[in-house]
Amino acid sequence: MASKRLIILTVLLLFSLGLIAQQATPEGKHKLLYLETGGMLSSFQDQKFSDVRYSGLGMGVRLDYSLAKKNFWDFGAEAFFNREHAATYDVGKAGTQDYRLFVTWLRPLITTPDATLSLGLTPDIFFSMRSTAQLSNNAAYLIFGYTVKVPVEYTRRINDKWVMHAGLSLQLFGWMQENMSFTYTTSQHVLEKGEFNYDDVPADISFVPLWKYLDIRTRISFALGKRWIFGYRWNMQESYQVAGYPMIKGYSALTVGYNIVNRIKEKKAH
Amino acid sequence: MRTMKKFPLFPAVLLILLFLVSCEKIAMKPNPGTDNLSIYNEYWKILDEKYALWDNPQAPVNKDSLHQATLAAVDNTISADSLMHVFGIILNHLKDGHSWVEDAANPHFYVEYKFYEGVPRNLDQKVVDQYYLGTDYKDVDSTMQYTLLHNGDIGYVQVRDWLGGVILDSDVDEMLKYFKDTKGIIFDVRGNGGGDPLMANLVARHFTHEKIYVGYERFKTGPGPDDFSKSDQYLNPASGVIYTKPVMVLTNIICFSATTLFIYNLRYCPNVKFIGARTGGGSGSTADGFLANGWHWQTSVSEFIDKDGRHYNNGMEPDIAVALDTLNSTRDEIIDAAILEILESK
Repeated sequence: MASKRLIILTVLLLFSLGLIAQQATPEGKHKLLYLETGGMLSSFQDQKFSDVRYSGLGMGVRLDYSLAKKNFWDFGAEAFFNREHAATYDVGKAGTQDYRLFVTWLRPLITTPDATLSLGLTPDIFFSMRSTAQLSNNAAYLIFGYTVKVPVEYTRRINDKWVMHAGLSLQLFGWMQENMSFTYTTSQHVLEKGEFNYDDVPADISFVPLWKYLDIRTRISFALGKRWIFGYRWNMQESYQVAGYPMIKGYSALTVGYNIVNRIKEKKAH
Repeated sequence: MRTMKKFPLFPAVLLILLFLVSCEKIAMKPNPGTDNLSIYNEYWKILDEKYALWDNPQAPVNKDSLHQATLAAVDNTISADSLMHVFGIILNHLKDGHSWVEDAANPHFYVEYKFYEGVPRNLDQKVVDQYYLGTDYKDVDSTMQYTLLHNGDIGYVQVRDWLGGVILDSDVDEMLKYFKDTKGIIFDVRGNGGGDPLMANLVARHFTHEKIYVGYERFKTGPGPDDFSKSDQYLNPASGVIYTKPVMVLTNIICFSATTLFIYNLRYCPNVKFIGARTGGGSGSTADGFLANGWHWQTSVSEFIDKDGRHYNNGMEPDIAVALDTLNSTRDEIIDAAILEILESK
């Protein structure tokens, strides 16, 4: 399992190096408000309880308000809803909901007349809920918390009409609570500390380093003129409540967005 | 800020991004098999790693010999019935009422340990309804009913499950105010197979003024045989009305799960006695999931152990053992014994 994880990280590292090796130009000062929606393929496996994979289809919405001057700021909210089924049986369909609020700050590192390469920080807050039909105590899988991610963003003007954005975001650390321990629907941390009781649900938003919780996000999108944007996003989360028994979830989404606020001061491509 | 003019790796960026489609599946294990041996091995692994009561002194079991004997009975030619039967043999050895396996697509196809089989119920609800509860009783969300007995000297409460409705602290406060002039309360949880443990705990907290150390809940926290943790359990007094006069808790074999938590919590209350028959047990918490063939499993992942080291998973003997005379269809001897116990209390 560690070698598989290494493959993913190697691919992403190469991707990042590829971006950094390239050059970029500023797209221009702008204020944009994109409303995006799209369809997605999702997958899930919680090895604490079963090696059976779940997969399914869903949809999502996303609102992005971005400001670009010397630096780039992006304030966003997204929500995804999926319906998944198991690979080997027909019972136990699962419904998932994912919500996230984030702020991204990016500083251009390298620019050319056509492109920009930026690096920054993305703090975010998220809540994920997964509900599996026909289960009782283990029906609800909840994760919530906040993380700090490092995004790398590459923007390139392809021609007069199209601008490409490619981004990679890797979570460095976070604070979160996950309700599914190795056995019971209570935080593993709470059980290991011996703090479980029946008077209240102990709050336990604990520090989570990269090796216990991994959140990788990539995207590539193409803006058409000042109004439309077409994109592809991929996200993977891997959580180790217990060593050797990860929960892995991911999705791939195709999106289309419309710029509601049209305020772009562009530089002409050379 | 540096500037350059060429983008030689731009196509590579696109290719790498496309490669990431469903890349998370690289990190996932392949799906398990659905043949009989794979299902057996999957279930045994779950029990081996998650079941918290392999060393329960109330139901000793030789894990290795059980594994060898049941594995020998499984191959890929036996029927689903036979495989389910093998799981039934395992469960009968565990003697844990919380552990079972069912076909989720056909819930009538299941195996479990029937801890209640062949044991007198010591409860005739018709007798309780007709001669004790009557028709003029208070009801809390179809879950808790109460009335006065013996010319108002005795409060009688029945809770037949902790699942049907919601009992709030304010409901218990109201009930205990109604019982303020009584000499004692009979709290009848016979036939209560469990439900929401938080609700059972909420009610129990109204019978102590002091924080009482009860024992601990021993949780399985990892796959290894010694991966356990202990969470100390206290009965903390409720913030509302507290009743400290005698309380007789009526028990029978069906008292199970959340009702065992109710009993466990009250075990060290000086004003509480248990009257009736041995309880069913089912202490602790459960986990559930699906095997790769769609069979739904549940098992115990913790157990209560009290401060004197006593286990509750296979039941507890009452302080005063009383059996119901099934030939007498006008009296409930267990309620009558509880009334006497209250009236004779100092």
